[in-house]
Amino acid sequence: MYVIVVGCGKIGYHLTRALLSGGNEVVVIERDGRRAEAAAEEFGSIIIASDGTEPTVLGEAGAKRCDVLISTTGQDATNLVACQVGKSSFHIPRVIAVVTDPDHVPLFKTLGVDVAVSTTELILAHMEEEIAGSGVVHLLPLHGATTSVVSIHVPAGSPAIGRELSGMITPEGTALAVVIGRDGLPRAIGGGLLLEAGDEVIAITPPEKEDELWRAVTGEG
Amino acid sequence: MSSDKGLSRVLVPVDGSALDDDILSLACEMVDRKRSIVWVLYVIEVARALPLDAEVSVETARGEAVLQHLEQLGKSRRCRVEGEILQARNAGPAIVQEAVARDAELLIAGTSYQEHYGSPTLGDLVPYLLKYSPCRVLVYRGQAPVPA
Amino acid sequence: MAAQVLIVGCGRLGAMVAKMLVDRGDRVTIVDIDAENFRRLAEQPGLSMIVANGTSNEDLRRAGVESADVFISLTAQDTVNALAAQIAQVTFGVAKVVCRINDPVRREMYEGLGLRTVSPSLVMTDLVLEAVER
Repeated sequence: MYVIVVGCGKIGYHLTRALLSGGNEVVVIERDGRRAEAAAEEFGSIIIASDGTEPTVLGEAGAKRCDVLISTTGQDATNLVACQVGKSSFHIPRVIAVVTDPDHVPLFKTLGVDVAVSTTELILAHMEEEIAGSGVVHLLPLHGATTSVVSIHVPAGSPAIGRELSGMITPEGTALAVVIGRDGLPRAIGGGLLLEAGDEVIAITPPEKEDELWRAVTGEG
Repeated sequence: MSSDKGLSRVLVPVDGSALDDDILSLACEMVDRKRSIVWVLYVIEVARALPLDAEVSVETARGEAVLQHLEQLGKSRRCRVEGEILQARNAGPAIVQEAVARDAELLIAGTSYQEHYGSPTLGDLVPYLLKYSPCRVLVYRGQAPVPA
Repeated sequence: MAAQVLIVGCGRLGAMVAKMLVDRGDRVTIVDIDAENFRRLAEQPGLSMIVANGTSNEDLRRAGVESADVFISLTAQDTVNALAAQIAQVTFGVAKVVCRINDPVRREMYEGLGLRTVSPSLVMTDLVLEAVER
């Protein structure tokens, strides 16, 4: 694949290394001259010291034959514009943006960014167990975010452990979809399936029912 | 230099300009003709709009003609000259890489007087070679200050 | 009827536009991330100045984006203006959105994507050429 990476900060740097070792052709566009020079010391002539949101720069970087553009700067505005220029001026098949402000994620997707990765949401998802009372993690917004697919992690010692899932009473407008066991394998709800510690329950819920759903599934609260 | 018998491995980057003949002749003067070799390197800079290994037939044909001419010139000086064409994004790193791989003892770079925004400049290539070459670098300016 | 206008960016351009709109009777809220920039404007009825980030949904809500009839992004950065304007247009559905995009090539692209844009460099070029020919 031919990949254009915009921004060579921490994310861009490690991404570039990984992409190169995966055998991809990579070009990195970094606006900061000093940072570009440091990157060139390691990566050589794949570094372009310029502004990746400018159409002429992307054109010279070969955006027309590029398979994926990934914009990794710390600024959402820069990442959005790089992706929009890549998509609408050069028809890059896949454009990916790193998003700092999670509120921007749905907007970026509406505007044609194929993947908007929110670093904040990623970190929160990994911290789910540490954050008290917010055991509901968003996986995917549905229907313009009126409902979402969420994941509920069942902590050890939850009162609901051992209960039969198909008999569980959940709030109106919500539904349990599937359970992912500690072994990472999905199990269908029903057939007498019992809730176990460490299970991840995948469910569908509107935002205002999240807390209620969490209490229903874990028996806590 | 390293021995009084002269140099044995010299790398000469060329680009088809009028300076090529001069720097190759100079290289031939400087080496020990019995046991030495002069590599003539023609680098095609491939724009990023194309893959690095794209077929650039016009450029390749031009490079081949340049190398053929220079190999002929080497023969007339009774000097062993080997030409090679390389495709790269930037000439500088490609030349340095070749110098390292071939363990060259000397690089001869031709340059003409140029001005950039009204100030004298050596361009991008010569300063890059001066900074990164693993071996000695000789910078050569031709007879006329400004190329015809 | 007087319009409710939200302006992002209180540089020279933003401040002048705000003042003129208030003078002609509109109600204007202008936001900037740097309170220092409000020195360009004097307090007057119909004008509110709020320190806020024009690309944050939360800050824009606080500045009243949901009741704005017109949204204008006029910071010095094209990228920030493009993001702010598209938040106003798409996320909050503001009826009229105007966006400053200085780079002529990008301006054309955003026009194509349905944004109403103004490019100071293009306007200036026209004015200079006109002055030369006069």
